[in-house]
Amino acid sequence: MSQISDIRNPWRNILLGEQASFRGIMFHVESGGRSSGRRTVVHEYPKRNDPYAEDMGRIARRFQFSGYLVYRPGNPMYEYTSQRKQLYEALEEDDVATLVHPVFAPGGMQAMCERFSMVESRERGGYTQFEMQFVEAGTAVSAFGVSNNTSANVKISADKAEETGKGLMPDDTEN
Amino acid sequence: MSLNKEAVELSGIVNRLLDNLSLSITSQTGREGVELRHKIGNIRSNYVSMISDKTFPTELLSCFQTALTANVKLPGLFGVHNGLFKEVPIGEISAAVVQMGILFCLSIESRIIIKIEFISRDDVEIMMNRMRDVFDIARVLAADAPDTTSYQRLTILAGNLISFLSDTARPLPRMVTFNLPIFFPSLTLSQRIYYTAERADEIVDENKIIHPAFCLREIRGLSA
Repeated sequence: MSQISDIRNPWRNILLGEQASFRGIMFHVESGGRSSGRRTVVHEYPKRNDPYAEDMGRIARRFQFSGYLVYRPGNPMYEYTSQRKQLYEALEEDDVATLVHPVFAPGGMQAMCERFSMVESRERGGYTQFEMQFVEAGTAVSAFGVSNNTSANVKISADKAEETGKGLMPDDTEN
Repeated sequence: MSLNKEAVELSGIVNRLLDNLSLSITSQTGREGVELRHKIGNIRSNYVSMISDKTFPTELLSCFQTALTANVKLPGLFGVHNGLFKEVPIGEISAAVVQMGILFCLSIESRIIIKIEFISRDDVEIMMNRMRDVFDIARVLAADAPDTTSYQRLTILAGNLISFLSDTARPLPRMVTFNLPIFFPSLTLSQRIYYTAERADEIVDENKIIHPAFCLREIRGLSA
């Protein structure tokens, strides 16, 4: 008997293409969402009908997932209780990590878990629901708007100076 | 050009360079210091054959790199580059040895500087001014050479080093002078200035105070 997942179409192919995970710990997804937009300052002038919406850049992308882990005897993908522990530890761990989702973060993106909730109920034994919110990690910038590793630059230019020094000896140095 | 024609000049330059590098070795340089002495001795004995078979630049660079791992202090290397700045080479090989010595020395000095943990902005500014002067002299000397690569490399290295020092200085506190109405012990001063008694020793060290119970009325300290 064929299953519904056997019916192939483009959107199902995408969904089945990658396993959702954070920091390498997989989870199933019930629903997911993405929110972003533009940061605007709306200037409204007295005695004038026409406002001016000033563009102040993009709002950080946020991703919301309603995910879950479910117990199944002999599950080849994970052991329910240890996976649950690993997932909430991954969500609480320091620093950014890779978030993978076939639709919202295909191929993985650097994100940070802003908050999550883990829900388990009496009616649903062996089933834990995770409500997770992630924000894109972006890149750190200095006060001048430029991120620059100056000590690495010194090392690179020192390497080049040494290479140049090694090549200074004249070709013809016969006795 | 030949090694024979430049033998006397080259011998003087190489030996003075190695003498100055030897002076940078102190009792704190440890096992790497021993290795550095060994390498210096090896070059001193074999520099003619090393120049002939073109291994001299690699051996000399290896010496400087060992100096870096041996934690040779900056003043020691300043002696090396100052010695090289005073050289007036005539022969082509001698000029190349001087120029490569300067490049290697300033490269290693830059590597040492990026590892220093500066405490105050004044320290960084002193270092910045000192290195700016050193690189200015080195660049003038390199500008006389027919090949401009050394000049370019020194300019880029100087720029990156000054940029690093500027970045390092920005978050550091300044050294300021505190004028106090009466004489205070260092613990009281530390409490009054920094709201903690833990930095009393820092005040004593900075102001060369003989007894911590009797500090000067005018003292220097970090602004934060």
